[in-house]
Amino acid sequence: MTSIDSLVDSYLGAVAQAGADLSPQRREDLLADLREHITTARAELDPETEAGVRTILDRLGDPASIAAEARQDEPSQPASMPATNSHVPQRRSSSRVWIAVLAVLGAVLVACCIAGVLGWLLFTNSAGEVSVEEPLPVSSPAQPSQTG
Amino acid sequence: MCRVEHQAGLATALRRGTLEFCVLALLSDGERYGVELVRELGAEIALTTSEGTLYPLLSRLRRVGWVTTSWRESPAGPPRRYYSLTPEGATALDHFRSEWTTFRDAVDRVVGTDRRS
Repeated sequence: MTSIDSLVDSYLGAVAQAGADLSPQRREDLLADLREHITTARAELDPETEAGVRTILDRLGDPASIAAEARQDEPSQPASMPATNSHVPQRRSSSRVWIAVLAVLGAVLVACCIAGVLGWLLFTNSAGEVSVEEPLPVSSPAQPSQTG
Repeated sequence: MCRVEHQAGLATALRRGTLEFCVLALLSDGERYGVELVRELGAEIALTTSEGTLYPLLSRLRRVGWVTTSWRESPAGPPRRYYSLTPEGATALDHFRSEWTTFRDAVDRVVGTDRRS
């Protein structure tokens, strides 16, 4: 494989990755169209140079933008096409994300409570021990440790 | 930052729903192969972001049957796939032309873009 071929392959790979959430058929369609464009445009280069192929890929543009375009195309099809449900799984997955975020927040909250209780217990224990050695403020005659 | 995003979103929103008819209009002049078609549209900066973003649109036009494609031998290099307008596509383009004129005039009147200074 030449370095030009690997350049093209890595570009198409980036598009495939950016469009990983598209339906398999839509993604394959898109990749076939781009592959065909690159093949035709390469054949028009005379001579074929790496710089020329880079220009072809640059003009095709950012893989993420192309995938985004294909994604936005899915729900807004003309009325003659059957409606796709591509919105539904997206919503489902976003609610899944929220559940995960809430679960993590809940876990953090519980951990904080436990840490707080443990810390309080430790503090009161050590405070009890230390208070014997520490000079107590003079102005606290009400303390039971002093009277006892 | 918000304003930039909003502007980009506005351009995208304006393209959506109009760009496909620009494709149909180009094809009403005569068939074109993919590279030719996206380069012509890509030359209109206001119409498109990059050549690659036009392929999802072409794919959609094929699916709804407004354009059809056929492979032809090319004088040099691999065969090319030519896009041409179907009768349904031509009807859709005619319909768009009349809708667009009404729409554009109404927007111009309301927004004030019809007042040439």
